[in-house]
Amino acid sequence: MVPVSLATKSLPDCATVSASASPLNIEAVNLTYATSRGPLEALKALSFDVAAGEFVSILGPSGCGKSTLLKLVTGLISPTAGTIRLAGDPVRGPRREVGIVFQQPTLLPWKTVIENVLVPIRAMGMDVGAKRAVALELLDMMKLGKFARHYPSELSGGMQQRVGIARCLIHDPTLLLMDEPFAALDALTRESMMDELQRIWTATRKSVLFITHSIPEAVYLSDRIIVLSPRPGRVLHTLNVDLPRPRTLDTMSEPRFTSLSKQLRQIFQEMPQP
Amino acid sequence: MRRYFVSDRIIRTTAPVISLALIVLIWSVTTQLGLMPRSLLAPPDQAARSLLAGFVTGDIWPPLLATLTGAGLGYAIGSLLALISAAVLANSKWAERFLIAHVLTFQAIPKVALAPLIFLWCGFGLLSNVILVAMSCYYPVFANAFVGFRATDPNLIAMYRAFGSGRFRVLLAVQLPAAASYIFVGLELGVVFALIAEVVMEFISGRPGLGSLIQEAAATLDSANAFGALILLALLGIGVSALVKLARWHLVFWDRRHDAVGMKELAPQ
Repeated sequence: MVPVSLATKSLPDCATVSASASPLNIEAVNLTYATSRGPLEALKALSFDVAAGEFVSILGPSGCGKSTLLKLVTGLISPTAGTIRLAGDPVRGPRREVGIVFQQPTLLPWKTVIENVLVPIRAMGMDVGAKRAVALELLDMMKLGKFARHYPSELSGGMQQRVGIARCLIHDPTLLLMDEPFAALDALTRESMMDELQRIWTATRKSVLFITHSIPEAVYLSDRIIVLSPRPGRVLHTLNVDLPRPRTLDTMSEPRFTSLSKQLRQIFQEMPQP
Repeated sequence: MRRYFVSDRIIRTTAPVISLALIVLIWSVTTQLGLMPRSLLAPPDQAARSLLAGFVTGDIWPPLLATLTGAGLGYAIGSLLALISAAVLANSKWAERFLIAHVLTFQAIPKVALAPLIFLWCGFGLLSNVILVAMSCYYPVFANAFVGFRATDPNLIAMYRAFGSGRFRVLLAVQLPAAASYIFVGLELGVVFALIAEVVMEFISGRPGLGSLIQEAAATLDSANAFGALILLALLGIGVSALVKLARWHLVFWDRRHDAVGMKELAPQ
């Protein structure tokens, strides 16, 4: 599928650029794919911000254009209309200030764990030697220091995903994009990973755009939850999560957690079917 | 990574040896009983002795080296061209659209049928053999490499591209290793195709080699010599295939599946 590029892009005036230099700013973004059955609207009039150090989750039904959103933010595709800005700068191509974690660990099986963490540095064509110490530090933070010289196949699924998280931090990005990073893990591993991610986020204070299908995951981790509508995806609802941090597994049984989850579930139940 | 129990391994290695011994026994008995005249079917010990004599006198070296040169050069050139074209076609939509149909059509032609034309253009020499060998082992390497390059995790490619890597870096750093086990399957198949082409070319042109050795021996009813050369050809095929397997075992250490992926079918899109 190839995005249809329209000549009439609604270009924003320069005044709005300086107004907010938030790590991520999405403004009136439309994305229409050209398919064999005609145009397909993936995203429509999508607008939201991620503030510095903020943890924002995107919650939506399958096919709400979540992966399209990721490709847009990484600059792999361009919007049909609207603007995406990273730190106030419109995205026009691949950008280095983002770190990505995929649903699958997506590691190179022929490289050791530490070499996998260094992949972004190599991909950027930068000197790897200087970053080796940083990579080891990150692995230590992910409690994987002992496994630096192991190959990914020798690690469990949860450990592999932790390598993926270490990798997304190696070039010190300002924004982390996480595409259902725990979806492929078993329930118990997922809970400990949620905890782990909260710890790392608290330590690094990166801005995070976290895409998920899971209501408890979103409530547990986020400062703010954005609910997307079914295709074409647009912001249906925004919810601030005012639970105190650090949150623990006990938080999940607190009344405020339950009521927030309930509220979200209700939004989903009332959601129009595509 | 040992996947097999010891007993299973022993059975796996001894079973083919036992069946081979049985075949040699039947072969031997057939000739001993005089069911076939010795000029047409030499007993196994005679074939072995004639092969050994070839090594002792040194007569076997020139044809062996000639066959190895023709097959080896053609194999190297054909495989390299296959890898390069697979990389281009797997990564360029336009190259694929314009060229894939021709690659598939070319695959459908029995390469041996082109031999007379190649001789016409390039003469009865090494060059003609190398060209046909290269054409014969081109497709198995191309098809497997193409599928392998295409099967590379798109997220990995997207990540490299997102960090500003060019296509060539992505090809070398991601696609080539990701496709390595596929490529080795193609290389293994290519060994056999290369030997077939070389031997057929020798049959036609009479250029010295193990193929023409077999032909001359058969023409003079010297079946022992023919079988000797045949055994050498078989050993050559097995030996080189084993070398390719060994190379795969060491180079593609992260994917040591015993089962070959097999030649992947290419569907025109």
